[in-house]
Amino acid sequence: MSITSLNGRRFAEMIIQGANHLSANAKLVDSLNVFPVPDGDTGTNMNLSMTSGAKEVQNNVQDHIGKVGVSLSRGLLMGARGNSGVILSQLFRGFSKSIETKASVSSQEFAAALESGVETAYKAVMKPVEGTILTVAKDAARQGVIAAKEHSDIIMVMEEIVKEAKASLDRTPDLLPVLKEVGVVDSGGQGLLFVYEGFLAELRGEALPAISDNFTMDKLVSAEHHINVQGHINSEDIVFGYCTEFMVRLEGTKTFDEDKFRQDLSELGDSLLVISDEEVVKVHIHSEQPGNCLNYGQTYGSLIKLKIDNMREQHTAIVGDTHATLDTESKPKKENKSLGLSPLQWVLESAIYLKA
Amino acid sequence: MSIELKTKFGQIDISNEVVATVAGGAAVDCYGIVGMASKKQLKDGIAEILRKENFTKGVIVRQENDEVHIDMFIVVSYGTKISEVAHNVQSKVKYTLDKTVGLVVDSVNIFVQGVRVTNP
Repeated sequence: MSITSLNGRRFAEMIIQGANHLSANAKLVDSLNVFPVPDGDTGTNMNLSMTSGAKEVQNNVQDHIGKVGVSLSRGLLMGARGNSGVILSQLFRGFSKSIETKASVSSQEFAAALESGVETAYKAVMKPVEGTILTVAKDAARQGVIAAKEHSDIIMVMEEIVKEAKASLDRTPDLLPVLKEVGVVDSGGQGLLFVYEGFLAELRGEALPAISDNFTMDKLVSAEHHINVQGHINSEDIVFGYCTEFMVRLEGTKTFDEDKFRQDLSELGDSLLVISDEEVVKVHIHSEQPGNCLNYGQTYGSLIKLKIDNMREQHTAIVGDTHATLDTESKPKKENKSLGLSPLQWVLESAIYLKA
Repeated sequence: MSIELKTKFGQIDISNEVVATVAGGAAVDCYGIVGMASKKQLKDGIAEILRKENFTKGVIVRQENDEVHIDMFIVVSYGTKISEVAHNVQSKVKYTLDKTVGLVVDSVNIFVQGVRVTNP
């Protein structure tokens, strides 16, 4: 099956699928959020923006693609939240502008519209930061234009776009140092990829891919730790002291239900991540009783690959905590609070800052 | 005027200019911002975009009692959700100052001085 011409109804379906796919994976995108402010809300923001766009489209489904585009761009603008949401609204504003007068679009026009969206998005910023959603959109659109020269089938073009978006996303850590430091890919770029994947799934007439194969547990774990370190000022503020990671090989001694598993473990700590397939469950949790977590995991089968780190020790090393751990007197911490950081870290950071 | 921080090794003074430059640099990294504008030009009705070395004219650092307030005068791009762009600038500036200068600001006030329309 091939699609050479895209009309408004089909486009509306694509948008809705894109929004659905993003919304299903919003939590995942949240956890990758380390730039510009590591507050873990990129997924939520993008989801709210995209949903607002999709809602507007849903209320205005028609054959004329240009008109559907206009509703999309209005919905996105009104609902834009956060940096990535604003960028997303600009991408589709340019896209819609380019197809405004058309009743249906060919593969070339579709790719050209994506490219014009990127141009619009780049115009709205003084200093574009590369290695973000902007880069992913740019690379994907460029590849789309190349593919559209050879193929008149929009499915093929969209496939190329998704492929390049994925590749570009994997390159983001090379462009943005903070991503490399933490060991994640850009959250906004990942969000955009989910939207594109949704588009492709609709064009192919397939169900949405359950989970992106692009993401790995390691990325989530490092992002989670990054946010955690940012959030704590003093080592003694850490409630759950042990970073516990283990894998369980399911042996059928007990029926495995991921939701229940997650629920039970969440009572033992925070920063919980659970990923499972038919045979193996991977778990990451911050807990004060790592032993209990392991015992719980063992009820489902044998444990493979265990790792437990004492995070208080690690944290002390990271922030250069000057509080002696054996200090029995509780010192007033006021002077630290006014700085927002512990003194030694301050010195370290200012030295780095001057050097830079 | 400068911002003083006391540590147990001594005192650190950071001039308002430094804070303003850091804040301005953080702001222009934000999506939707096309530049900083001068506060003074308001009376002419023209908001001219400042160059990097003049950021301080568009960023006012005020100290009241023990609180630090920052006023920023920005120019945004037409067609963006301006309220959201302004909000993004606030959170980015607050975060950057906390991270690089170790300074906790009490408020970041945004004044949108202009909006730039570009032809598609």
